[in-house]
Amino acid sequence: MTLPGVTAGPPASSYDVVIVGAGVQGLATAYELARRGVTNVAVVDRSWPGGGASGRNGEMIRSAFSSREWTQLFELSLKRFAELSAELDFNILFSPSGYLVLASTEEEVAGQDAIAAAQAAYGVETEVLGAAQVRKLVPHLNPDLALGGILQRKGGFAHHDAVVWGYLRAAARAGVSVFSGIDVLGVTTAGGRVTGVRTSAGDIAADVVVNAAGTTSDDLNQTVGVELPLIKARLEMIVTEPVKPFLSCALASPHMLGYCHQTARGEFVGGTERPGADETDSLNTTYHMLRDTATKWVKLFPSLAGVRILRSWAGTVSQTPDFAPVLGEAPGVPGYWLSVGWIYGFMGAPGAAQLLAEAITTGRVPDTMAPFGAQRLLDGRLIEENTLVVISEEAS
Amino acid sequence: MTSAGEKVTFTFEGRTLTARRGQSVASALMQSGTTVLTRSFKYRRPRGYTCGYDVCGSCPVTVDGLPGVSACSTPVQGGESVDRERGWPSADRDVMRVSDLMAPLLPAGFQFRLFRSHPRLAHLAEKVMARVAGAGRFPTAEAAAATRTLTSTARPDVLVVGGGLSGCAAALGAASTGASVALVHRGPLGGRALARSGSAAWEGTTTPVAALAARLADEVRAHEAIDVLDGTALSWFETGVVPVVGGDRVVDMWPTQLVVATGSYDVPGLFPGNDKPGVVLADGVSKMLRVDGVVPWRRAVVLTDCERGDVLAAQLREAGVEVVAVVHQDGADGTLPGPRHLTGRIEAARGLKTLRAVDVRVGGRVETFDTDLLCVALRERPADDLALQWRYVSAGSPTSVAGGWSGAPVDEDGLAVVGSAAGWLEDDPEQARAVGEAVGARAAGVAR
Repeated sequence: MTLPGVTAGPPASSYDVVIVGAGVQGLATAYELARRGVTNVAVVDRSWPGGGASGRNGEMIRSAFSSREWTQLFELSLKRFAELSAELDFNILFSPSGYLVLASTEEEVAGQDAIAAAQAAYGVETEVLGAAQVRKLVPHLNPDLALGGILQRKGGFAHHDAVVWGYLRAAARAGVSVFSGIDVLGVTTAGGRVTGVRTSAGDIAADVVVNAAGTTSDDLNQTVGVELPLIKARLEMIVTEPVKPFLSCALASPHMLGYCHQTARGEFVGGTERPGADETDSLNTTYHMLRDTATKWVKLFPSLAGVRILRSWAGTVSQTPDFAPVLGEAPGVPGYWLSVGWIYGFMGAPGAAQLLAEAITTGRVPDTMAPFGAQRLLDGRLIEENTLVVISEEAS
Repeated sequence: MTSAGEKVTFTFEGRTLTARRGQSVASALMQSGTTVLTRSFKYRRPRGYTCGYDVCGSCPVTVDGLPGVSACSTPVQGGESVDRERGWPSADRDVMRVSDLMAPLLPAGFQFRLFRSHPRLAHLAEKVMARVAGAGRFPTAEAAAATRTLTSTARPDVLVVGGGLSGCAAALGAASTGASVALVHRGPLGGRALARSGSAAWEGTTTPVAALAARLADEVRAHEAIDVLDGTALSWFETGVVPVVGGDRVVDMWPTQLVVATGSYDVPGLFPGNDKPGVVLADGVSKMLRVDGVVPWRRAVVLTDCERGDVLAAQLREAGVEVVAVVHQDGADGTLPGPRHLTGRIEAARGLKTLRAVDVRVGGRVETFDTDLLCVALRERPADDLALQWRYVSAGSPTSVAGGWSGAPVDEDGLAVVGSAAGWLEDDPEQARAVGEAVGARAAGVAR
């Protein structure tokens, strides 16, 4: 059975652009290319569209970060999320219900004003909340852990599968071909320039190849000698049985290393992390993370005690040393473009795809995208961002 | 048989009901005339007792403040308070039932087409839907406290999951080799076999299955090397741990060998109204009549595609239920004298709240039978989830494993599958015991 939007039959022998990976990055990039008149595009995936991290993330959306680089990229994305349902003719169930970054320690509370001031300077509207305001916004929070927070009212969450399906259908309508079940074995070059890809369904010629392969993006880089410091990491989420609405906004807790929201059906969806990356691309869930997640969320929301977990899942990402994505043409391989190293990929895709398509079609790198080039990692110039729910190996 | 328990009382929505301790909450409610146990989540269709074994999710009730408790598989203890969860003003008469009338306007995926050009309206609609649909409740603080679990660890040579006829036989086989054995089973040992007709060979004689299951269950309970846990095996994780949840404790099991004896699932029929209270799967019917000892039906139609139709018709008649027809789909036929045997299919199960009539299509015409039970006795499907999961998780990828079992005994290193979980078509406790012996010998050998 073929999904709506997925092309039946084998790929042609050449395209203008081949995108590796039919996740939200690849499909959004294909859609944005088509919007700019580049429609002879193939998106090739080893599995089904959205089968990787695009359908396994926390669905949450914000642009309120602490650094200029992150804030500007994700602000563009947030604006796109608000437009997408109408533009794609598909309701992506974007809920601008607010995004709260919870402060649970005195140290976090003390840092809030500076972060909010920076956000204001970058053009993002946020509110610094005190303990009473946070408890009023989310009454079920454990008061011991609800000391403050930064709320971005325009943030929220969207249905991740709907975003993938919306981009897939819109790209297909515009003439893009999307293939599933085809392994891309390597990138081919001649004279240092990209000539296409080698796949399990034969060679495909293309002057432009985009690596949007998620967890396996580093494997593809290796086939053309692009050496970036990417490591694989597995992240897990749980979903509970439905309960009455108790959490209207998306919530991230840097203290707990967790993020969560509640769906319209009433399911509580939450993920937590533990220090370090386990460097696997296995999609198995693990017992220690199930326990970690359940324990932390019951601690933060005591009412969840006794609520059953319906299901859990794992997704994998490929992350960079500064946890920021890599966007742009790969150093030393003209025609080979990267949209890799994402850990906030669902949230960033609509903006990044627009920037990437602009760069590919005009040859000019947009200012918002420039800081995310691969060269920064090779030079050791890392982007400093302080509001991520991650903890590095060193920091642990 | 648990039907011989002492008389106790419990509270149901403010009324005091009498039951025998140990009978299922669902059977006690049905005895008192309650057939609608809950309402469906979205369209608020009435739902009732269906599978009998906590598989289908059609009978969640709130017991002492803990929501989502399966009425079919929870024994009455005496003194508890039971409430239904959905429906306003009650599950019997739910005004939200009107949403079902709108169902043709709300096909699957309607939300992705709704208000797509009007984001504010879309967001508002979502909030409204959340208020209507998000009807689940938090457990009360007392109920939540009671679910707080104590965790312990066990490292048996062999973990048998499922304590039906095959699981008990496999556990006895494994224990006979000197291996340490843990057996996990939810509810009374013996499982579905306790309610089944038919017979099986054991130690040279042919014995009724129900009696044999009860006997093997007794032997398992009495065996020093077999640790029996009343609970559910959550999953097999990649580190090799099988967490078992039961009552107020979690036991992290680290078995050397896993034996999956999780039995089978009943398969629902495909026809309009197949979710109506009164449409009950075969094992659920057998359990109600033969384990809980309650006969909440008067007239029955049996739907079948195999020999189970005659078996269930005979069980129903023995319990005093009039079997008006056995409908053989896929051209099967039956031999049980008495009921009419029709070759055809179910056109519809009808009745506003609970089943009142069944329309049967036979060739070009439709016959209607007034009945309060439609027993769906189709060929079972192996309950092989845990076994398949063992393979998938071992492979680390959801795409690289071929699923299913051939019906032959499965015994590979680390995993054995026995009984109907492995697709065996006949009860064969001796073969299950032989697999248990092989697994036990291997595990004990590895462990030493």
